[in-house]
Amino acid sequence: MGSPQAENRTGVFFCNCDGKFSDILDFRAIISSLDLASGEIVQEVPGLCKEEGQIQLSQSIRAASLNGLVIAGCREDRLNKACLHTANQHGIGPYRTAFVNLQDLCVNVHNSGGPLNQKAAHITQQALVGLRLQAPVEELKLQIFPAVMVIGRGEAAAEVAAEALKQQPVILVDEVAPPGLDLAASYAGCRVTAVSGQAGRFNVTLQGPEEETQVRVGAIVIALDTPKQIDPALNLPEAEGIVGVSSFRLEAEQDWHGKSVAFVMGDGESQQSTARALELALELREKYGARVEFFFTQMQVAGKDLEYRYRLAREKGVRFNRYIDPPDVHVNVLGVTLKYNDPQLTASVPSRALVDYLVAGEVDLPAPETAGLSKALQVNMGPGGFFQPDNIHLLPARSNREGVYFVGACHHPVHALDTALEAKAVAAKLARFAHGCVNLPQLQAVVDSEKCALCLTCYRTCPHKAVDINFEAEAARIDPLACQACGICAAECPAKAIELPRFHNRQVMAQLGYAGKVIAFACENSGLAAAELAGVLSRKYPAEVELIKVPCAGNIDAAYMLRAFENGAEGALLLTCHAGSCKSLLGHARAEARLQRTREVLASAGIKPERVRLQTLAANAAHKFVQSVSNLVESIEHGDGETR
Amino acid sequence: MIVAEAKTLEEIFQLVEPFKKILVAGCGGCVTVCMAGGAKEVGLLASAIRLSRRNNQLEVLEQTVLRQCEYEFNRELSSSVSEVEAVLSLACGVGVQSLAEQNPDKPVLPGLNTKFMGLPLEQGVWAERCQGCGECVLDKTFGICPITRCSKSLLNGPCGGSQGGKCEIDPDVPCAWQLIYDKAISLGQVDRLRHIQPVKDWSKSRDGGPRKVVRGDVRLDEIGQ
Ligand code: SF4
Ligand code: SF4
Ligand code: SF4
Ligand code: SF4
Repeated sequence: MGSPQAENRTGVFFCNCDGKFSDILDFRAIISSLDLASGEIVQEVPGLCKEEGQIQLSQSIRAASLNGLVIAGCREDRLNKACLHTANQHGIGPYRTAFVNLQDLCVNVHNSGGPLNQKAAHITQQALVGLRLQAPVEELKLQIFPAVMVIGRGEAAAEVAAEALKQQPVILVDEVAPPGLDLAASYAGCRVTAVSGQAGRFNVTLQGPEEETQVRVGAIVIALDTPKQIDPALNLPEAEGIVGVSSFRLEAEQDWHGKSVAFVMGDGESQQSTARALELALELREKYGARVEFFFTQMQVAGKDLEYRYRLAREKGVRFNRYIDPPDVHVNVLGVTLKYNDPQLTASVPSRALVDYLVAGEVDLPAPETAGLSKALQVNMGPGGFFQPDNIHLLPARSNREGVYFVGACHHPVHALDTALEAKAVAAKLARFAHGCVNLPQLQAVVDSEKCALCLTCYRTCPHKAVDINFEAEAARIDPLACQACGICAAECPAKAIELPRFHNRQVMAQLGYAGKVIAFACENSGLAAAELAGVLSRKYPAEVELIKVPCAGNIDAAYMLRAFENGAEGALLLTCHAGSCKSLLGHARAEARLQRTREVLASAGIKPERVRLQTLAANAAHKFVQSVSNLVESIEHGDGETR
Repeated sequence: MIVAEAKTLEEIFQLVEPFKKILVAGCGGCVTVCMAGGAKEVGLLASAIRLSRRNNQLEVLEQTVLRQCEYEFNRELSSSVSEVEAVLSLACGVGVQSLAEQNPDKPVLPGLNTKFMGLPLEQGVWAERCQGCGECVLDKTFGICPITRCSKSLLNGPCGGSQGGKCEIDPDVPCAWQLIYDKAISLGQVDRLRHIQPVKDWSKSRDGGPRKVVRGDVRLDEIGQ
């Protein structure tokens, strides 16, 4: 891990917004309280979003040959853009430019006075020490394999293969090459048994009927076909004349004129099943004039074209019957009898329908290979035994591993309706791998191999499975493409061998030296966004509350919390996403575990354990942010925090 | 590896109570891997101690060496050691003693309880596997150590306390001899267990007093003489 920029010449520029901020903030006092290292300068500028402001900025950069900028001002995008542009002209990269949102974190949320100025100084100082201790960010050029492997058979697999083929070689597994696709290779009847390597450089072991093959690909798409089953909630008897919607065929030599067919849809089935049923119902009416009765309890109209098909079917004379309890179904020589209570009719006598055939709605079952493949690829499974955990950040098609995606019902039946659209979305992700080379800045976690004791903690813990063992270096190795820079591993490593370039231990510890009485460790994805929103909404809260930004609550090291108290803080708050919507899946759980440990330490040191708290919140929960920080401040003011 | 566990904070605060400046010394070997005494734990413990003494100043230095059971590595600690009144070692008992030997005039305090030689069953769970008995019998017991994993260290088990595959001391502890029999059955070698093992020579274990391993072929002073 690199050491800080050899020569730090950072300039701090306070934009007073044409004097608008000067009424509230005392810039003189703020500037004089900053701790500047040699080579660092500070200035107050009237309006940095204007051309004159940028000219002044340019002159100052040139005069002091600055190589870093802290811009403290409003939240406006044009301010950020203008400053980044000027910085760029002077060869100052985006990682040497830091913005401080004085507007939302200070001006809009606190009353003027000493604590407000101190907070403004602190957050600016935090940005400054952050840059001071920031190592140069390396630009990586990674060689990767352009080919993508599609695992599965059926529509979803064919669709994503066709999309990907427009941009890169495609290898199909477990599928005879569909006609018309110019595949790089196809391995019919093969099973994936193991995968090593990471996104961009996967090495897949395939077990065929006779032999094992190794295939190298950049990305993997799982597009397994899912078996279908008549919705068990419908409680239908097994009998001739009753079939599932996916096995009902109209093209049989049978004449459907004068026949009657009932469609019975359940409640929990897929949109795909409803869509197919509506399609068949329409065809039976239009082509053959058959009598069609359609039973449903909740009409699914949210999917593509569903509403349209439903209306059309009504117009064409399909009879729609809503039921509360699924119809009672009997089969005899006359046909299929359905007994049901029509909620429109008050009569207690049940209604009856006699039809020749009953077509039943279906639910998808997980593909039988799901568990095995999930193990081989180290991707998590989700609800109902399908792929993909229920997490907003993974939707629609991502797995917990970079470079592994899903298409179709295999990751959840809800995705089956528009596989074509999903295939396109996945192809857009795959495009990253198509060129055989990826350029990216090294902002991901890095292992110091000298310090690494190979304890395997990071390897076991990483939610994205981005860690491998480098046997030559005898150290863990974090893959820059696979790593999502959550920093969970850095906070867990018992040898302190892992650092995130922009949230280095030395940066955060230094920032903690300039933090208030109450410190809110704020996950970028939730807490920080909620705090900024509180600013936008001008929701006031006590000015002694200061934020320390972290990439994920899972990066909040127990040592950070303890250091805060050592420095004299009286309370700390961990602001994390809800467990089910944590971008790094485990962040909330790790924060919770460290909270418990920190509380034990505080208790033995004679500090009330409740002085450190955890608050889950969403990015838009400004009120929750305000409430939780205010509650903590209030309880500090009321209660004596020390137990001895 | 050697598995250890932190002493309670209350105990540690008492240990360091008389001092005004101490060094918390970590070890980069086994105790880093079992998460009890590496650089991370050194930092956390140092913080905890400082917090507990926030009204009664105590200065805490922190340093971690590659392995505390090597005199050479410990020399890196010498300047910090000379500055402090006491050293709190977060190594296993071996590390604590090597530091104590090297620094005869400094109190060297143990921050951990050294537990056993074992392995992680999963992240955060470690189990004992060897007692260093001095004469390994794993060849006769299909790779399952009866000395360690049988609560009575029987060589011809199981005893009458084996119930449903569990040891009588605790329903969560598998009976080692059940495990040995199961393994023998799966290998089709139960016959091998018909041999009665003779009494073990415990003098090669702890019962013979402190032990030493001497390797003449690698010793340097032999040649130097
Ligand atoms: S957690 Fe730290 S010490 Fe353990 S393997 Fe990872 S980098 Fe190495
Ligand atoms: S920073 Fe997060 S994603 Fe990256 S290796 Fe560490 S735990 Fe995995
Ligand atoms: S001092 Fe103890 S814990 Fe450290 S390496 Fe040696 S045996 Fe392992
Ligand atoms: S028999 Fe002795 S040396 Fe072998 S594993 Fe058991 S205790 Fe260790």
